[in-house]
Amino acid sequence: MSNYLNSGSTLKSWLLTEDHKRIAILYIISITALFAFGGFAALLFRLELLTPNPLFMSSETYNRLFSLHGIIMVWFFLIPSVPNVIGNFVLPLMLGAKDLAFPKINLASWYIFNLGGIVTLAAVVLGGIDTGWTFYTPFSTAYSNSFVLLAVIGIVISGFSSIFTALNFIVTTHKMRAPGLTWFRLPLFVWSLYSTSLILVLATPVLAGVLILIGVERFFHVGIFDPSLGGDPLLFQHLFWFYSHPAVYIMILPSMGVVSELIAAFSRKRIFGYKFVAFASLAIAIYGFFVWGHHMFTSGQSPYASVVFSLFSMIVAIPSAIKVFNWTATLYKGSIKLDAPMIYALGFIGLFLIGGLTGVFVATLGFDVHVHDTYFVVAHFHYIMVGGAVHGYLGGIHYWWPKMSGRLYPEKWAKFSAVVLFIGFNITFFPQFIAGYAGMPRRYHTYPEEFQWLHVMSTIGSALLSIGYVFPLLYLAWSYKKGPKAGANPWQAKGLEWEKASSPPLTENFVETPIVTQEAYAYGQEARSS
Amino acid sequence: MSQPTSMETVSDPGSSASMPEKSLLGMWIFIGTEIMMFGAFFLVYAVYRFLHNKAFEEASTHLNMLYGSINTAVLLTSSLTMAFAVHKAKQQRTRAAVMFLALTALIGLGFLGLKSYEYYEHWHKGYYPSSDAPEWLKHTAPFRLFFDIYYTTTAIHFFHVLSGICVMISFIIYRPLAKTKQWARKIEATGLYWHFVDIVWIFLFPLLYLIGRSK
Repeated sequence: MSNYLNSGSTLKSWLLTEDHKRIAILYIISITALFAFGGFAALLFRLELLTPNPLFMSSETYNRLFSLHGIIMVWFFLIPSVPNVIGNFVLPLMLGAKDLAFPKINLASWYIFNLGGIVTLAAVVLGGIDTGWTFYTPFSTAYSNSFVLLAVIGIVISGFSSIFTALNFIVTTHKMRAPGLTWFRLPLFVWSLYSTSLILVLATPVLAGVLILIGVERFFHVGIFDPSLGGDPLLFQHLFWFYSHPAVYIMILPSMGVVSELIAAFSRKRIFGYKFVAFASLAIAIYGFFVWGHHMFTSGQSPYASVVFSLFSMIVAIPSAIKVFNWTATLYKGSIKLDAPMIYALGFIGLFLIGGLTGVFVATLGFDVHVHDTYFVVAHFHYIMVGGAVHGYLGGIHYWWPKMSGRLYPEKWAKFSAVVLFIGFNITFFPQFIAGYAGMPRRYHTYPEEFQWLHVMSTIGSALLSIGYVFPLLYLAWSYKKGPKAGANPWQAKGLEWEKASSPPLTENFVETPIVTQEAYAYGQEARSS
Repeated sequence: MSQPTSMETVSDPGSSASMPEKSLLGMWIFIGTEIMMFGAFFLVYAVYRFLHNKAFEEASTHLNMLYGSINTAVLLTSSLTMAFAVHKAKQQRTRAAVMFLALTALIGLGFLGLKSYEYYEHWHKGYYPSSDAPEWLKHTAPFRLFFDIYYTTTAIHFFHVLSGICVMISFIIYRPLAKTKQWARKIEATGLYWHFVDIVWIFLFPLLYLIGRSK
């Protein structure tokens, strides 16, 4: 049967494709390769941290490894993961459209992303950078003798890839919905992609601006952030975090959208409080722009500003909490099926809860003074990024895998991997809360002996965690060729991508443009039109 | 259940009626991203002007107001010719539109030419970031900071003008034998971009060239 996978098998038909589904596959290859780099860096420094004193690397190398890990994971894995892989594949299907608004720009976005990745990896191969992913000045501009300029160029380039994708998503959502598909009939995944895209188009350019200034400063020895030349290092931090805080919402919002889809499908129930969840996505996107100063509580900014940022940071937790409550309420009296995607979704809810609550802790000024720049913060954001975002990504990959590949993955292996991931993750990162609270600073190569047992636990956990990553890679690849064929709707789920498109879909997605007459998640007798 | 209660008219994805709106919406969003990026630079300018007011005033007098004024007039004129190009394109008068596009590109090149000459004059005087000319180094750090910001913002603006010209030239070369409506949409989107680039200059010119000139 003809579908997007077998219509054209030349390399050229893939590399010059304008089909959003093929572009999603191209992206999955790129980001998986980059994830391997970033993850391998983490394994190396986790091994190094087994002993309080240097084990097999210098401090210089250690600094470059954690910088590499942060840069790759943030810009080259987390930010593109759900939007550019799952979003690219699923958004037009969910909207009943043939493709995105600008297919050529979609392809360009992938090439630009790869170019950014290559330039950044070049910086790594040449020796890396040691500034951390945050590039604080004046160290990054005046004192670091590492490949800052090259890394910064790579990141700016990849930023354009994000902007183009987000632009595409916004225009597609506004202009290409199928007849009858009103805004409040959209799946919540679309709302979260839309909100993410808003952040992407507004915040990423500020990052481009500030990184360009870093590049200019480094190359031309100007004094924009250098105090000895009249500049202000704190200005860098304000500009950097003005982007980088919304960036963390870029990383979590799409995964939250995936969770909404998974919870609905595997409870066979509409999401409780649909409009609240939809508006919560928008609220997180907008509100996320007002809290950046919480990264700078100890940097010397005005204490009055800190108070305001602290308050706003607590307020921004509210829409996230609303989502957690609504997902939980959806589960209540639902017809729960604990398939692998659901295990990932439930894992998300529990781990995001811990990550989010500890976020409120660090938003508390007095507490943050104690734990700033310690492992407590590292644990907090990994609970959100790995416990949250990555669980959402993997859950989504498993859920839509039958649609993307036309095959079923082996369910037992998937369940096993999901559980291993969950356990490995907690063993890796829970000890870090304790270590951080006890005073273990982040980004330190060596540490006092009393912290060793916590580091050893964390490293053992990271070994388990990597199994949780490697296994899906293996069995998903296996299933692509050898898995049983999936039908159009193996999950019996609601949604245009399941009910109106084949698995895998045709190149043009639908035989004829679908007409929508129901709300999203119209399961069982609860279905009513909005 | 029969009428969609939507926030806007639901458009049929296949129809060409939604197409112009797509390109223009896309360009407006792109312009939004550019505003955010230039906004970062304007913020840096604002912070340092606030902190080093005197030095900025003094440094501004070292910029050539005549060249800046001429360039402002040049760019504004190019916006006029661009507006004509868009108008003709929408009327499907492709040849006239192409003529105005070419004129716009030419005038834009004139802007770039004068700006380049201005940069050359600065360089000749030794007024650039890593210069070791004594006339440069005798100035205070905030004075030189003004010039750093001047160079960065005008260079990035330069790049945007150049990109706009390249896009215009590509649309002149690839003008359609048919499908003039689609081409007209592209020209309209280009027009939006060009007007935006013009507006950025309208902000840059007084902020850089005209500080304290009223004294």
